[in-house]
Amino acid sequence: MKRRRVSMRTMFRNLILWVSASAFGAIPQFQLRDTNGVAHTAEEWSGSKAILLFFVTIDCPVTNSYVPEMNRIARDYAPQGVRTYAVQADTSVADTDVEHYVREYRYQFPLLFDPRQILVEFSGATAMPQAALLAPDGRVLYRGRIDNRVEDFGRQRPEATVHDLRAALDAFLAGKPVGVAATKSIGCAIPKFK
Amino acid sequence: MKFAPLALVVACGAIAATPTFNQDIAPILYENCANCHRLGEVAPFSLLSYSDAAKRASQIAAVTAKRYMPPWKAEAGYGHFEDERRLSDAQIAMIGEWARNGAAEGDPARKPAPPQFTSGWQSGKPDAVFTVPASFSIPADGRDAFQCFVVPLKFSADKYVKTVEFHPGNTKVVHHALFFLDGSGQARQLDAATPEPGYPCFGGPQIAPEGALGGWAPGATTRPLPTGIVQTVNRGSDLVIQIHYHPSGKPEADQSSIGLTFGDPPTKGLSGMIVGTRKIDLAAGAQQTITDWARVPEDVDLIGITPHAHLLCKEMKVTAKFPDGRIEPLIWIRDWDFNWQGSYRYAEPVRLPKGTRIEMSYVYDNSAGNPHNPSNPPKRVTFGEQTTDEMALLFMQVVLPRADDVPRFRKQFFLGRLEQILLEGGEPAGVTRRAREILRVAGPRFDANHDGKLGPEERTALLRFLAERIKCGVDR
Repeated sequence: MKRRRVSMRTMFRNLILWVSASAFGAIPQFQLRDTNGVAHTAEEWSGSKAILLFFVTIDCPVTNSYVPEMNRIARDYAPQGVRTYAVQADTSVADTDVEHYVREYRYQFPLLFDPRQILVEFSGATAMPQAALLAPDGRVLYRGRIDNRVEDFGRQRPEATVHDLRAALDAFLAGKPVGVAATKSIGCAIPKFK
Repeated sequence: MKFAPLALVVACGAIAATPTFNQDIAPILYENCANCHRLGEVAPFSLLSYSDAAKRASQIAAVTAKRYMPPWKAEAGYGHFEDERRLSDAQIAMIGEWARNGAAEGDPARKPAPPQFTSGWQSGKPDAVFTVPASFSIPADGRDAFQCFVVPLKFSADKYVKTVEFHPGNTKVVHHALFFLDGSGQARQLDAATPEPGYPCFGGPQIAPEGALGGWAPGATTRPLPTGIVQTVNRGSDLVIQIHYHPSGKPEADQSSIGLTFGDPPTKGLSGMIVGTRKIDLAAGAQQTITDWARVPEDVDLIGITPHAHLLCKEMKVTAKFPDGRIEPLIWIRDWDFNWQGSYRYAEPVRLPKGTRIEMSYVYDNSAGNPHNPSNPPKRVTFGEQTTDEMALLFMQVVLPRADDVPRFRKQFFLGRLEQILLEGGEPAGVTRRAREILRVAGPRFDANHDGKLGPEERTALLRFLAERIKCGVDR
């Protein structure tokens, strides 16, 4: 019964956040710890040109295969004012396992614990890996795959030919509208928080 | 209105039957998935506990509905194989219903006991274990790697192999492995020519192997060869292990092992039979079907089949046409995936009487719409061993009544392939360029009536002449 009450309350709060985010582009309210113990809030978004969130988990092979490309994107766009985070979207994984994982796979940007899936709900994320590109005012500019290397289960290109996320970043940073605002992500489904 | 009560009863029944993990899902997962999806095995996560399965319910429903999992590419009803890992439509529907209805746990009393697995070697302690000589490094990302490792077996006498069990050193990156035998020393030379352990090899070992010991893919079950049959390894031969690596996202290293169990000298004969063609020419953008056929020269029992192509192949169909006109499908892979190529062993041997015609038909897609296409934009593709080349091959394992039937059988099969060249042209796999050249040069000398072509009698005379000069009839 206790679980259910928490779940309902969270769902309600997340619903408010989600509605406000999509309708008005509000900045989400959160204080989330990264794997180094550093606390992060949306206040640190001010001054950034855009916010990039990667939804990940430790035991999803497709997610892991994208870590080098996520690192490259974070590195390539940091000079242009893009702030990148990873978000541990599967809340059932032990924190110590995530802390070990970040070092093992050499993430070059902070990975946030999101135990109540605040950022998951805010971005409307459904899969891992999935990228969400946010404007500093909280508008979701792009949500979906990083590129088309993994087209479907069992349909994988040797190399990506369409770089959806980079295209969205380039467009937004150039002051142009994002051409494709949503794509389907192939990987592992984000388990719903209970 | 008369039927309303009946409808109500049916509906109630449906509600009561909402699947639960303990009663309905656990038995399916334990039987079909747990062999790989458990701690320390090749799959990335375990599916043994309720919490492990429940949080992935929608994922499990999606990949089983697409039949991506469990990985089993052979279509039902086209050959009946050992260890088929195929869910029934009813099981897939059950998983989907369970996921849609909140992935309930159900009554703990109904939960089956988790399956028990042997740790270590699945087929018992091997007689000999060989480990790849040095650890191989796989970068964090980029294209898949294919590396051949040479393992000197150092057998001082011929050995009769009953069981081959492969242990990947690093399950995160080892995707599949194939085992070849080399008595020529050529693989050692290729290895010595590169600084890293082994040498790069995509479509095959880059040498003409003297034999093969099967392969390994995730989920493969190790079984001994049927009674009376062994794989003979000649003394002094090297083992060549070809491993396909998927980058994992972080730098990795692998050093895999193989365990061999030996048996008595064979009482029956075991031979390979290669169908397929080197005549491949796929224009950029083309969809094309490539066919080949071969005649079985003596009564044999077919025990195993391994279709092989590279990245552009979409579909493979192999059929046996018996001398009495009956047709038996041998295998159909509707959605060929190079990453899941496997060797299939028949649950019961398939008798192929003398004169049976083996027909293969493979479909290729060299368009940009094929995500597996290694070239962007597409380009013309011909036969070869590289990633950007193609193949159209079919390896079959057949059993003959006695061990000493094998050389004669191979010779007859080889002569049959030569006759096909004389009749239809073509470039059968297993007939080397040199053999085709001999045929081309010798041909005119048997044109007794000098009409510029070989009639039936002239052809028979040429083949008889060649038969006396072919020692073993295998393509070395």
